Amino acid sequence: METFTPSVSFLVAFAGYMLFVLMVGFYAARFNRDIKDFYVGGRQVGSWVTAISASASSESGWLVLGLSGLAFVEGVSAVWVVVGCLGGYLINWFLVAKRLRRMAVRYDALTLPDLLEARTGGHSSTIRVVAMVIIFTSMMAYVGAQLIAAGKTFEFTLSSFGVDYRWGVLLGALITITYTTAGGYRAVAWTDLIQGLLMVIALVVVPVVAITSLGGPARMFQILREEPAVDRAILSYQAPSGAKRFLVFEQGGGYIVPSEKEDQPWLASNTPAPGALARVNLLDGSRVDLVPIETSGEPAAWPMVLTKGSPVTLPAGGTEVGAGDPLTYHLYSGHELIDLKRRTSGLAWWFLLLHGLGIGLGYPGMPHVVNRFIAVRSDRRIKMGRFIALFWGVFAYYGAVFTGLAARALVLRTPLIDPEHAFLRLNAMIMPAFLGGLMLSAAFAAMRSTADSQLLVAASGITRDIYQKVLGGTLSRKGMLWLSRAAVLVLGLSAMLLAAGGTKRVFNFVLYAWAILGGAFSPAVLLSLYWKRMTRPGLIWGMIVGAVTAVVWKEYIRPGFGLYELVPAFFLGLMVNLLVSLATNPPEDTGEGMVG
Amino acid sequence: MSAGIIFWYLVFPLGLLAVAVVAHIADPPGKED
Repeated sequence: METFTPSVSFLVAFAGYMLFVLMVGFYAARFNRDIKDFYVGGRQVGSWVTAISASASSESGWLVLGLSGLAFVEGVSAVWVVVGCLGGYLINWFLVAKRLRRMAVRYDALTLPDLLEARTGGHSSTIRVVAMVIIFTSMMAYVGAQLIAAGKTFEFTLSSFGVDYRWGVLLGALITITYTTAGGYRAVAWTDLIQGLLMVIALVVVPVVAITSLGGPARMFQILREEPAVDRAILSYQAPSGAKRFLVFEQGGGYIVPSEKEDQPWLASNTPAPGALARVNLLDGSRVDLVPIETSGEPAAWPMVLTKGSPVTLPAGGTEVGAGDPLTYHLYSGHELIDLKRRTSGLAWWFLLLHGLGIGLGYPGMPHVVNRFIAVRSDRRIKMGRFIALFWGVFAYYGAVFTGLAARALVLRTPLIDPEHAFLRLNAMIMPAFLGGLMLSAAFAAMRSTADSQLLVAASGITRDIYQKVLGGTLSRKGMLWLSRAAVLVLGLSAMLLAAGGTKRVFNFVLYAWAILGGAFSPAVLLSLYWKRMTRPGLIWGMIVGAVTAVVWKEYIRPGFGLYELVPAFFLGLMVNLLVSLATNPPEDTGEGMVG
Repeated sequence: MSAGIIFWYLVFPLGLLAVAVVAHIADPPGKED
């Protein structure tokens, strides 16, 4: 178990920042008179807030923890993901933003379903209900993932005070829910501006300090290149006590054996052992039980075969780890850290590039990102915004990758970390206390800035799209405002409960929701803006097929094939939208709202 | 450092920043509309 003891000044910086964010949220609350204020800031938002908040919302805890963790594990080839993602930035800011804003103004749209409905010729409950189901389910999972990231961060920081993961989830959720409920879009966008700036500063400062301490970037790449060809497999899992435990295997003499460097001594027993915490299936069909050394008695016979890339699973009933507890397995391949075209562990470079491009394809369809373009004040603000956003994206993305690489170079000999702790570990190692507290706040900021926007979008789906537009609800302006606040509160608390029960990898969880949203809405938004012939049935079937493809691919095809689900989801969704549109009668309002 | 690393870790990000700057100059935000 990793240990980290924060100093008082570290905690002061951390707590002070949290308080500051809350105050901003309450200040923003004074501006809310109706749901137009609550959901799109009265459509009066400027370039800095739009650019940074769009970026901070799209790059969540995944960027700070997940992407740096990917670079930690994969080495330099993580850059392919960055290339794809920044491609998404270019698409969103150069092709989507301006047209989308103009269309939103023309139709007086407050939400993405508003816009899609208006674009295909007026009232349609089907569009709203389909869009709402997709948004609601994905957003809840997505917000849950952010809170999981908050829980992990908190656990890492305050475990020496006996504070665990669940407290992190609770704290992250309560702060986010409080200011989002009070201040709505303005609170979300203003805090996102602050959090986005803090994120990018942290993602530049932390790796710069680390790389300087290593002796410069050339030296860092040299260290990574010279790492001995040691393959390490790390099993991490949640022990019944709630603590996270690791079991490390290293390669020796053709076998992978348990490492002696492991700080939590474990032995593996190849006969069923009464004190076993987990049983692992090996590739050769045999099983081992993982037994705490203090209860195991005799050591098991080693070495045993755990082939590189072995699937490690927990058989039903074969473990005393609580049902549903995750056991994750990762293989480290030291000697390929500086290989841009690595092909081991199933991640060839072009796979990572497709993966990144897949992520990039999702940008135009993220309701919590494109609603920034609905809320921005003018075209001028968009032009300023794209300049700011592109700078932010380049520094933040490359900063995250350099963070992972620097962490790997610094902790080469002690790889006992959850890869998603790379940023936190590095921060704790190299930053002075007060600054370290601020940098840690950046990790929290990344999660909150995404979770708050998503809560707001999910709440707008319930109040604006379902209650007001589908059910024809007629609450007063003030009533709608309070209903919206109640929706944020209930959704936030539900996501908190969801997160408190799980500890999945943030990266995977986020990317799943991203794929469903991107598969459903990216083709829909792009065609809405650029293809007059798109019809309502085309839009609806495209959304359904995009979302369903993402789920089916992820659950049934990806385990054997590997390609990120958003790639097929996007193209199938696009194709179905095109074909169904061509097969149905052209819309009467042939894209009247399409203004270039 | 290999040429690939220099390109993807230095030239490419600087190129993107250059795109942002060029776009900003070629199509300036102008006055509030």
